[in-house]
Formats: sequence, structure tokens, C-alpha cells
Amino acid sequence: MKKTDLIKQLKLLHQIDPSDRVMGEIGKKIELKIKDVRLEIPKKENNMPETLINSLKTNKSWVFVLAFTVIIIIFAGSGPFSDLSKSIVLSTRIAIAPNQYEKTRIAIEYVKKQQYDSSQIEKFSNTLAMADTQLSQLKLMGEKGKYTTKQCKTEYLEFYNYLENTKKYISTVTVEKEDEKAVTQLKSQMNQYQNRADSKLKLY
Amino acid sequence: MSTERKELFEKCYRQHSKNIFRFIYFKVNDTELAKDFTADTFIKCWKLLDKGEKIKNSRAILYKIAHGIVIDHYRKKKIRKTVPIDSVDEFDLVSNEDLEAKLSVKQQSEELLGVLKSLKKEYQDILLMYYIDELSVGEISKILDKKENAIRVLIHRAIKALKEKYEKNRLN
Repeated sequence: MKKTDLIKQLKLLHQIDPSDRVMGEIGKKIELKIKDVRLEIPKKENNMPETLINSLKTNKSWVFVLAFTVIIIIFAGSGPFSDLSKSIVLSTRIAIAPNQYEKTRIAIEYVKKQQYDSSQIEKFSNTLAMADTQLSQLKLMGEKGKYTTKQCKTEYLEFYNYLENTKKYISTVTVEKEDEKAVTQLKSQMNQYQNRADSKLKLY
Repeated sequence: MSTERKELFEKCYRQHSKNIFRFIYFKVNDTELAKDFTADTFIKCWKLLDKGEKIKNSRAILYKIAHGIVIDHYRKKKIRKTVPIDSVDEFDLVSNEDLEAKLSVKQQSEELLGVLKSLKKEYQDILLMYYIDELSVGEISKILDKKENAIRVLIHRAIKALKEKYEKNRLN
């Protein structure tokens, strides 16, 4: 028998609920010792249709989330809601990713698509911070059954290279006087992330 | 005790009492004992609340108490061998399927439970908590006082052991 089938059968045991009579007796035992409480017989666990519960418990739950997200994008895909909808989509994708490697991959992929824009330094900085946060939660030696050491190394390398290329690009862009402080802070932030990525890469 | 704490206790009971009973029952195979132990679990929880203890994760605390009660019971009785499982007649089945399917689930359950009970206690606990009661690795590590990595290893070994015994059982 396959391990997945055995696990499914094991999980079926969760459907076994004690009868109301048994729960009633337990409640009475407790009420005898604790005078202040009144314990109702707990209701049956599945108040929702079983198919809905099962579908939420499987990996296909992302279909519902993505469908909802697509609807939001259609209605709010332009104008001032555009950035918000992109942010929601990204956050949702990261939230429902099955493991830390997938979360990191999504974050790094997103970052790589971002072109430095001197009019949106803060937004760019936040994007880098988000990617660094996801990366820092990766286990260097991988997680069995989820992701490998090699995959971790690839993500660190991607981020490191992106930071390197972006820093080079920024140094070619003319900085307005009012942006000088923000650009300096951004470069410092990028150096910090790059050093962190470099130190992790040296461990491999 | 404050009304807030009383409501918290009643909420804990509503949410977790069935699971705690099922967990204890699968370990002790005796309905009356399981009822007593379930009641004891919640009474101990009440005492913690009465003392003013802050409970962050009520589910984990209840399982930890229940687990402790069962261990104490085994120590007192010095039970070493596994006990033949009672029928699951005390249980309803919450599935929405028809009666035939329910009976099929019941038969499969009894067979699988029988094999589960033949594993070592550590494996039984892990499988009950992780797959049947769906506790997280973090919660289980707090209940069993082990590191999360150790719990993951145990889960892997326990399901492997169950698979081997189940297949062997089917061949015989």
C-alpha cells in the first residue's frame, strides 16, 4: 500500500466522533467537580459540506484563492489600485506556497522583475526587504521532501547577482539632490543583503 | 473565576473535548477510563485557569495534560503489552456518506487501529496527534517535550513502521 493511501486512511479515523451520550456523561462528570460551568454537548465537527472541507484541505485550495485574486485584479487592475492588487497577488502567492523554498522563489522572481526607479525608492527598498526576509528563512541544508541544498544555493546566487547588477545600474543613474539620502540608504541596505547572501554562499 | 476565563474554558471544551476523548480512547481502549481521563484533563485545565495561568495554545495544553494522565495510568498499572481494541461502537461517524460507506469506514478503522496499537507507544502517540488529531509539529514538540526536528524524524519513522506492519498484517 502506498504511504499516501495509508495516511489518507489514517486521517479517516478523525471522522470517528464519540457519541452525544458519551460526551454528555463527560460533561456531567466535569460539572460535578466544577460547579460554575455549564458544558454543552459539542456539536458535530463538520458543519460545512464535506466536499468543501476536503477541497480546502487539499493543495487545490490555491485555486479558490487565485480565482478570488483574479476577480480583484479585473476590477482593480488599473489606476491607483494597480499596485495594491499586485501586492495582494504577491502576498497571496507567498502565503499559500507549500514550503519556504517556493515562498523564496516567488519573492526572488518578483524582485528580479523590478527595475530600479528613482521615483519609487521606498517601494523598491520594501521589495528587497521582503525578498531578504524570505531568503533568511530558508534552511541552508534544505528540508527533506521539500527542497534541496542546491535549490537554496541557487536562490542566494540569484539574489546576490541581482543586487550586484542593480547596484551597478544605480551608480550610472543621476541622483537628484533630494534623493541623495534615500539612495545612500538603499545602497547600504543592498550591501547588507549582499554581504549576508555572500556569507551564506561561502558555507556551501 | 472571572466570566472571561469561564467562557474560555467552556469554549475549550466545545472545541476540543471530542478530540481529547478520541485521543485518550485510542490509547487506553476503555470507554469508561477514557471518559474519566477526559474529564480529569479538563478539570486540570480548569485549575490552571483558576490559578491565573495564561494559556496561549489551549489545544496543546489539553493534549499535554491528557498525555500525562495516560502515562501516569500506564505507570501505575505497569501495563507493557498491548490490549485488544474494543469495538468502535461508542462512536458515531460524522461522515455524510450512506450507511454502507459508514460501515466500510468502521471496518477499515478497526483494522488500522489494531495495527496502530501494535506499534510502540511513541509511534502511536505521534501518529494519533499528527495525522488523526492534526496537531502541528510545533504543538507536538511542546506536548512531548522534544525538538521539532526530532518530531519530524519520529513522524517519518512511525508512518514507515505502520506501513510495514499493516502490509504484513494484510498478507497474513
